[in-house]
Amino acid sequence: MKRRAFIHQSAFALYALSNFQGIKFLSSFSSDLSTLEETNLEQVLELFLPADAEFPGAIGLGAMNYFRWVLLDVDTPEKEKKRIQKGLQRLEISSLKENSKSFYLLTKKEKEDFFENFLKEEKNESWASLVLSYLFEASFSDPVYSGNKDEAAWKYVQYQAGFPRPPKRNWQKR
Amino acid sequence: MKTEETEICIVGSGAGAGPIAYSLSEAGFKVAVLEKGPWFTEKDFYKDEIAVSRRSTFTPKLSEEKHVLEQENNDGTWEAESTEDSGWDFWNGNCVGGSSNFMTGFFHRLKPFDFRLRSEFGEIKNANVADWPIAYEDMEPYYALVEKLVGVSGRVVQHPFLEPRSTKDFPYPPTLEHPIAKKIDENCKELGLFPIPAPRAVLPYAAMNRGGCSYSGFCGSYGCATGAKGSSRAALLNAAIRTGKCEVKPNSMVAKLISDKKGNVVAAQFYNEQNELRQIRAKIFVVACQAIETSRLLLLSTGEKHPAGLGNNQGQLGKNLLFSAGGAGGGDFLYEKLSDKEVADLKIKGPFINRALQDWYVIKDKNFGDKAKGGLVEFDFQHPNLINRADKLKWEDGKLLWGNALKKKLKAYFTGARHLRYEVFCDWSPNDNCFVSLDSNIKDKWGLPAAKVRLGSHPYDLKVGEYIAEKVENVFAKMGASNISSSITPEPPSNLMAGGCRFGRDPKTSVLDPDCRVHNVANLFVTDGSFMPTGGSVPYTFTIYANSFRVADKIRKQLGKEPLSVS
Repeated sequence: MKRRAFIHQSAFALYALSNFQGIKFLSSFSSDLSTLEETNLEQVLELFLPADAEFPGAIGLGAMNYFRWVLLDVDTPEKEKKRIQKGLQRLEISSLKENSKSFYLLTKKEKEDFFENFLKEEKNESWASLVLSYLFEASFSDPVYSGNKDEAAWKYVQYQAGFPRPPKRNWQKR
Repeated sequence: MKTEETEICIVGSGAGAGPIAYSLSEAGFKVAVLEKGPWFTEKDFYKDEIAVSRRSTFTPKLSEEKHVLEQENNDGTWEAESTEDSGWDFWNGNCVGGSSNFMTGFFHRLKPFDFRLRSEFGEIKNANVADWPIAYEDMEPYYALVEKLVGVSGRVVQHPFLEPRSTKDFPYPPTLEHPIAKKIDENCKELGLFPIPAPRAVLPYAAMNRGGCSYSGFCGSYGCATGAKGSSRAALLNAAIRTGKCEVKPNSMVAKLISDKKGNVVAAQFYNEQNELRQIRAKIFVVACQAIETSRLLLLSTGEKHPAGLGNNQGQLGKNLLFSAGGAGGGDFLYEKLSDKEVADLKIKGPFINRALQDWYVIKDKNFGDKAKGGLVEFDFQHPNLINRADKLKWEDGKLLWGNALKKKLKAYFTGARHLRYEVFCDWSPNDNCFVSLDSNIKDKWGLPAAKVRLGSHPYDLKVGEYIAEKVENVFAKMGASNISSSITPEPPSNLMAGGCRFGRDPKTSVLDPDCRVHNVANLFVTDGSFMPTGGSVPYTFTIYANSFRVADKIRKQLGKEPLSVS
């Protein structure tokens, strides 16, 4: 029986058994995004799900860790990776045109006003919808996937996780 | 080419395959089960939405294995699109045990008149409704057998549509029930309806080398971590393997069945895990890889006696594909309108609702003539998948929500109410615009033509679904639900498919004989849902299991063995 062999080659092994290579691993690798694109993406995510007294926000949830993995993962469609990156590039170019500074340098109010206008273009709204779908994955998936830190998003919506939960596995021991 | 030998070769390992493997290995025959996907067990089934619902963990990547779907334009023309482009996934579980690993497990029998729909309810214009070549009485012993071997839990109660039974009750008592079941019962009875306990293929306690239900609340779409759910793998294949006569070969993609000069099948050619082409020879071949892929494999299996594919000499193969008509709907029980006790009850997670209505299984309404075939209603809470639900909340009035407005909506939706759903299961009228063929351009990763599926539905089915939905909405209103809505659509549910190789007595109008043997091919049987000329108004798995055990007895007889006897 070659069960061990196949399970390590299966997608399931990637998703459920490996702990997605752990947060430490993820944070030590970068996606194809530039530092500027990553910084802007993080700010977009926080705009989508901002922090308040009850909720840590996208940054506090560690959503960027998840996005770094998604943008590296072989199972993420290449066209979606490119769409995410191209949208970030349009965002930055628009911000420079309208505000004469990078998106991440805008104040919170400036970001909100700019973004409202940015989304009026259908292409940009479609891009934002895609990013939001991955942000929901980052926020509401099991923390083994490196987002949803301390299960804070689950607590926010009073979610009861199913069991058994996907296993935690220390990347360094693999 | 490296060639292996066996006695019974089964293609596929789901609900149509498990009973054959179980019965024939029990009879002492050497059985090989060829499954395209990998072999997962209970230890692999986590409650992990990313793995189960957001990525193709249990199904092929659409970039590697796609279907081509044809849908009708407003002008009556048909437009084909690859599922790789549309993202509309028609795979349902490609692993040992097939999609039965991921079923919800509603196990309703067909009614006696479901076997003679045309005689009982008459023709429907532009539909190919046909009676089955067997009667309910032929299937009944096998329903009883499945209840015992697969493990069906429930409670038989008298109601107007109760099927004749050879056993008094289900072999297992119902699983634990959610408090809302009582509320459904009370309100339905006040409306003069007959709510019935819904039987499920879920063990309430450990039995037959399987665990009992752990009440995690994630049945549908998820593999069962205890073995309580009666998948083909947990309930039948594991038992078949224990006989020492059955070998399951995962990662084995059958590309073609080879037939000889007489037209009988002599071998199955398959790609193994290393992508090497192999061959297995057998006395009997059984195909059960779910309706679309079964038709595809037979269409691919041309031979001297079968130039258009096995079983296709009359051009019937792939025709009259079925899905389940109907749809779903539901309503919210807003916590702000309820007492603390009612809210606490509603928030309970885990136990099943286990309630169904069959009051409209036959419609008696002047708008439908004398009488018409209706359908089944099942109640269930909205699936606990969080990401999928959140993703549906991001749009409001056609505009993308974000920031505090989005957070507020998420918070209110997830913490302010519990959403009760219903599903309507109706007959999908077989018609000339719902069929499987081979695409001439799109191929899979092995270079084989992809299945092309025309998805034509019949307007009559929509009318039936809408009629029942209106009735169920009255139930929700009586229960005090808010935001009641229904969605009855002509789009096929990709997880409920049958037909394509309908069985019948006349080879000119059917692919299989009444024993589910391909006409004029003595050693080839089809045992998934493909055999059905009509599908009935219940989920198909129970009937697929029962029919497969029935066919197993036919094969045993052909090979000189007595029918399966279970003490």
